[in-house]
This record gives sequence, structure tokens and C-alpha cells, in this order.
Amino acid sequence: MPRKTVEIEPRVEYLSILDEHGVVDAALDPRLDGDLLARMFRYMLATRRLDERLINLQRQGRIGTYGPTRGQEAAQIGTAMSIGPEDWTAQAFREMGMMLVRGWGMHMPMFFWGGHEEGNVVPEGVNDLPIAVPVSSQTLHGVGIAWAMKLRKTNNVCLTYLGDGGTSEGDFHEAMNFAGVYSLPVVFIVQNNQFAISHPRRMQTRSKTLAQKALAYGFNGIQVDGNDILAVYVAAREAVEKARSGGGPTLIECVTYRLSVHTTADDPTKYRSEEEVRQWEKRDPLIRFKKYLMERNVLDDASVAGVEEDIRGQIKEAVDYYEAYEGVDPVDPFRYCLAEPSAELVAQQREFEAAMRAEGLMR
Amino acid sequence: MASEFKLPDLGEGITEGQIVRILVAEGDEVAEDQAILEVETDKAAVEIPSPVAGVASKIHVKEGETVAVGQTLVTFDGDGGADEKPAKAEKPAKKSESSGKSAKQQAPQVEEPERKRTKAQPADDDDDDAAAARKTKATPEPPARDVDESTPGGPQRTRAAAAPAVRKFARENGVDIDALTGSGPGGRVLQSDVEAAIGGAPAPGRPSAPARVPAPPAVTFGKLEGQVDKDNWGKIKRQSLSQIRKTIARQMVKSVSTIPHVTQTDDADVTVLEELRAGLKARGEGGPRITSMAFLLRTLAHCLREHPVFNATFDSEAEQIVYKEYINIGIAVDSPRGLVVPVMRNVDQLSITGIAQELGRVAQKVRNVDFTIDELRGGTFTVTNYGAIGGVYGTPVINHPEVAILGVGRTQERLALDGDRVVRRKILPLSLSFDHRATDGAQAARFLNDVVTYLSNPALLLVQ
Ligand SMILES: Cc1ncc(C[n+]2csc(CCOP(=O)(O)OP(=O)(O)O)c2C)c(N)n1
Repeated sequence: MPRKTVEIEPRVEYLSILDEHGVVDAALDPRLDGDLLARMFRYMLATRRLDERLINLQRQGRIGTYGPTRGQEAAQIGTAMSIGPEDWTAQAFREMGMMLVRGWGMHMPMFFWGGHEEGNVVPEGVNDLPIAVPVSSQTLHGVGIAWAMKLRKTNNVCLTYLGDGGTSEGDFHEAMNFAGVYSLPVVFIVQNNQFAISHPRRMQTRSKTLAQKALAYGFNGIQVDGNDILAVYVAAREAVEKARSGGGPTLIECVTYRLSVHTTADDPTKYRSEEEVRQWEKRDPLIRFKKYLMERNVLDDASVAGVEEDIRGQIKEAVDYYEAYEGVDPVDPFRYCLAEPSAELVAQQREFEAAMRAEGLMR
Repeated sequence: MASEFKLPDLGEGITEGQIVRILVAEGDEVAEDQAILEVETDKAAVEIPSPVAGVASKIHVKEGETVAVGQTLVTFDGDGGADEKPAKAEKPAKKSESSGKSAKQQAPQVEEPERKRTKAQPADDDDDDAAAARKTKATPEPPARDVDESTPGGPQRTRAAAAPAVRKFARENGVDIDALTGSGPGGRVLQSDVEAAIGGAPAPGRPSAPARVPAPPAVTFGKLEGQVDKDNWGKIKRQSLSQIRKTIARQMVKSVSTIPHVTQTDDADVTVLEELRAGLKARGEGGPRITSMAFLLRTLAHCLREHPVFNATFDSEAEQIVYKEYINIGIAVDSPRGLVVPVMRNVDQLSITGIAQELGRVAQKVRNVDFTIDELRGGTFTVTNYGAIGGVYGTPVINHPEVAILGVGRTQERLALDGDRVVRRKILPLSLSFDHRATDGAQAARFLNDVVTYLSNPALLLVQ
């Protein structure tokens, strides 16, 4: 009956390879293939431009509320490119960069945020779950998928994405515990973008890092510079390889910053300083990566201009496609609620139709 | 091509915004997505990017001005804007002809050009997603909001001022609220105006365009049965009231709870009248069928002139009887939608043949559920001919705010005494309900006596 210290391994690594000035740590540089690097850049730029366009579309009344991705491109694209098409993802709602990598079309976010459920239908052959708005609910789904993978003895892994706010949800902790106990092939990608709407990271948990949450559940957590795509990619590769070979789960905390609004209905000037934003803008993941690619001669000005041009065309094509869409019958939700509609539902439908007609929105 | 840019619905409950800054001047060449205005809403100050490339030919707002969602901000002369959907019609047509892909299939992908080209090429896509084909129509119709776009200052159709609850009430009762002239402050339409529109008395100054009675909902589910449930004694089934049932229920409660009803009954000997009708029928000639109802209405028109208190409404608030100088008789009929009371106007000015013709027309309209709210308004007296189905006497409920209603039973063959002789007569049973606030039993008896006298001696109709 002594009073003594129980030894655990309180160890959290931090990884940064490419700093905000574009200086690379030569010893840590994974020396990735030029083609892979160019593809990473392409996805990052596409995500950025599409994000900008979506905000404009919302401001012009052409889509509804939209939750931007700006600043989180490295965290999303670095992780998404670490897995293959046979692997799975369970996303939250701010993972547009990841979605583009996985094969969702550029028009899909327009449909989704434009209020058309078609935008949340996973494309054929893509192993992703749809967008999940209930915060952290997707972590349980991701763990469930990983459990199935383990039971089926496949070599696949599942990435599940969440935000710093998501780590305060019960679902997250249940998912973490289950993943640890069953040693499942799942990687928790926490994009710590410093805010859950207006709630700052420091008010989210007293823990020094979010990565250390993994320790309580018996597996490793690593903190990476989430604006450094090389660090993100390296950490993700390691975690994925470990999971694939039966080593169990990992949590990766990508330290990043939400450079834009929480959603287009948000005004961040009410809870953070412009000075803070300016500081983080200097750490923009695209700026440093572009510098790195130029120095490695993977890109030059002409090729960047070509990529920009391509992306502009694709976004235009996506917008045209979206805007030509007729939409569905607004009465549809009533049709698919119940096999046998209840009297209440029928009454509600009639009321809805009368209101739509009265507003001239329906014939 | 000019296009108008309106303050979009900036989302999540925003209905208006204040123009903080105008970032372009009239006549400026503007690029697509270039910031043109800064608008502050309840939620945030946001820059509004131009939806089109073109010249900002007119700026309709000033800095500091509060603008509503949907209000025109800027007019552009240029190569077509977001609001000019038809200009893009060819594009989707091409898409749906070639494949008809759903949102999930046609994916402008972010990839290297080679891969992109194969993916974006509709020609080699043989998928036939039928649902998608249905959804992606060849020519997108302009959205309904285009209706307003010709009038920058606001909607073309004047929207009546009315509280939301009153709007809902009007909608539920099939009344076009925008066609009413309100009696409230500043022309506000009140619930009582809507009630008047439903109840018969036309609201003053109502424009001529009548509201359509809403057709039954286009979307039906095979069955409309309510939920099966059970109580202590066995199975039951609940059924929500249809809109028309709700209206009838409300009207009936109002009538019975405000009007002290008295019902008197009497019989009319229609033997002679029926012989007369038989004679007319024998003549044939393909004219309208002269029913006993036509004779009855003719009779009523005459007797209502003689007893004007029965051709009136009771205004309890003003404590007045409102005598109507016109005779508009409502006829309660069992339509496919339930009880409706189309009104036959100026019955006193019609011949029996005219009435018969009019009855035929009304019956036809009711069968086809093809009548306007207007045709149900403005009655001065109501007849309910339940006898067409069956029954002898009844206690009809007055069509509020009228003074009286006549129930007509089924014509019976009865044995009667003619002096000492027993004879066979045709008897029409009548039940008159009246508002005892407006008049008394003696008046009612006199009125009913007259009706019976005319029906029993139809020759009198010729000499009045
Ligand atoms: C269970 C649940 N609670 C609340 C919300 C409302 N909500 C939407 S986003 C959000 C903040 C999420 O923050 P974080 O997990 O950090 O993700 P981020 O928005 O920063 O990407 C909240 C509270 C929700 N969608 N689901």
C-alpha cells in the first residue's frame, strides 16, 4: 500500500518539416516524387479557388450558407493523399479539400450548400461517408468501419476527420476508447483550426495539446504543423502504415487556422483580432509550399499560371452545371418520410403546398 | 443585355441589410466577382461580389440605406447575369441529351488535364441514370422569383397588408387575401374581412378578379386514411379534418352558437304542380328540365319580396337588420369536396325556365368542382334540398349571417281528405329555420303559409 507514481508514456511528438518561410529541414524532407508534389499543389490551389468562389456564390444568393476551408488545405490534402481508393474516410463538414482528392466533383459542394441533397451523395466507387454535420458523430462511424475492416481481415484503413471543437464531444471519446480497446485501423485527423465557431481552442480543453487525448486511450497522438503539407503527409503515412500492419489507431493533431469565417453567417471580427488573422496569413500553407516547389523546380511561373487557368475553367464548368440544375419537387420530403403517410403528415403537406402556392413558388 | 442584381438572401434569417459602402460608380466596368457593395446585416458586414461582368449602368441604393432581401441594388448592362437563366438554356440541353447525368455522375474533377478531359466528356459516358434524366430538364424554366423582376420598385401585384395569422386563415379558406380591401387601419385586412369574404357578404371594393377555390392537392398518396389506433373498447381510426370540413365546422359552430334558431315545419300540396310539370315534360322540346326546385325558387323569390326580413342578414354588432334589395339564393349542395353553397343571383328577375337553366349550370359546376369563391358569396337566403336524397323534416342550420334557411324534404304520396273523400296527394315537407333575434314565429308562419299557398296553387305564380 505505498503511494507511488504509475508510469505511463507521456509522449507527444511535434513535427514540422517546411516552415512558414519555405525553409525545409533537409534531414526530415521526405523527398517526394515531383509528380506527387505537383498533384498536391494542384489540389490545394483548386480547393482555395473553389472556396473563394463558393463564398462569392453565397454572397450573390446563388447558394445557401457555406462553411469555408481556407487555411486548412494542407491538413486535408496531406492526409487524404496518404491513403488509397480502397481505404475509407468519415468526414465532418469542412473537408472540401479532402473530398476533391477523393474524387468528389467541384460542383458537389455547390449542390450541398445550395440545399440539394445530391451534393451529399457519395460518388460511385468512392469510399467516403457523406458530410456529417452533427459534430463528431462521424468518428463513431469511422471506428465502426475500421472495426469491420478488422473483422474482415482487410488491409484497409479509415481516416476520420474532426475539429478541435469535436474533441469535446462524447462521441469522440467513445470512438477513441473503442478504437484503442480493439486496436482498430483508424486514424483520427483533428484539424485544430483554433475555433469552434467563436469558441477558442484554449477554452475547449485544459490539455496542452489535443494530440495527448490519445494517450488516455492507450495509443499515440502526434501534433504536426497543419499548414505544412510535408509534415502532414509524413505523419499521416506513418499512422496509416501502422494501422495497416495491425498497429492500431493514431490521432494526428494538425495545428492550423481557420482563415475565413466559420460559415458565411458568421462575423469573426466579433471574437478575434485582425492582427491574429494577419499573423496566420503569413503561415498560409499555399505560400510556403509553392516556394518549396519552385525551389525544387517542380513548378515555375508558367506552370502555376497553367494550373490556375485550368482550375478557373473547371470551376466555371461546375457553376454552369449547378445553375442549370432544375432541382427536385419541394414536396419530395413528404413522400419519403413514411411508407404510409400519417394524417398529420398529409395535413402538413397540404399546408406546405398551400403556402408554396400562396408565395408563387409552386404551381 | 441588362440584368438586375438584387440583395440576395444572405442566409440564416437575414431579411434586410444596410448599405455600408458602394464600391463602384455608375458607368463603371465591373468584372465578375468584383466587390461592388459592402452590406451590413444582423450577422456580419460582408462584401457583395458582382454576379456578372458588365457595366454598372444604374445603382439603385445609397450608402446608409436599409435594403430588404430581394430589393434591386444594381442594374448591369453586360453579357448576361445570374438572373438571366434562359441565356444558358443550350448548355443543360446538351447535357441532358447526351446523358442526363446526376450530380454525382458528371464530375468536373480536379485532376491533370488528360484525366479531366475523359471525365468531362459526356459522349463516352453510357450511364443511364433515369432519375437524373428526370431531374435535369432540357430547358430550365426561370425560377418563380423572376415574376417580380420587371418592376424594380417591388412586386407588381400589390400585396395586401395583413397579419400572418390572417393570411393563414385566408389561405385555409381559399380566400385570395390580396384581392380583398381591408377595413382595418391603413387598409389592413382583418380576420373579419376574410370572414366576410367566406361568409357571403362581399367585402367592399373587392376587385373583380375572383380567387379560385384551390383544387384538391395535386399530390395524393393512394390512401388518406388516418392512423389506426385503439381506445378502451376497440379499434379506432383518426382522420384529420380536411380544409373544407374545418371551414364547415367553424361556420356551423358560429351559426349555432350565435343565432337562436327556431324551426317551423309545414307541408305544401304539390299535386297540381307535379301534374303541371308532367305536362311540360310531355311537351319535351329539349329545353331544360323544369324541376320542382325551379318552381320552389320562383316561389321563394316572390315570397321573400313580400317578407323582406327573411331576405336579410343580422348585424349583431350594429344591432341592425340589413335588408337586401336583391334576392340571391344560396343552394346547399353535396359536392365531391363536401357541402358547398353556390349562390344564384337575382332570382326574382329570372323566369322559371331561366331558373331551371341556371340550376343546371350550377349543378354542372359543382360536379366538376369548378367554381370560384365569388360564386359562393353574397347570398341572402339559403335552400337546402336534402329531400333529393331522402328525409322528411329537418332542423337546418342557418348560413350565418343570413336570417333564414329552408329545408326541403322528399315529396311524399299521402292520403288526404277532400271533403269526405279520401284522396291521394303529393306532399312536399318544408322546414324553415329562422333567427329569432331578427323576427318571430308569427312572421315565419305567415311567410311559410305564403310559400305553401303558391306551391299548392302554382297558377298564382302566373298572376303575381
Ligand atoms: C452535435 C452538434 N452540436 C452542435 C452543432 C453546431 N455546430 C456546428 S459546427 C460547430 C463547431 C464545430 O467546431 P470544430 O469541431 O472545431 O470544427 P470547425 O467548425 O472548426 O471545423 C458547432 C458547435 C452541431 N453541428 N452538432
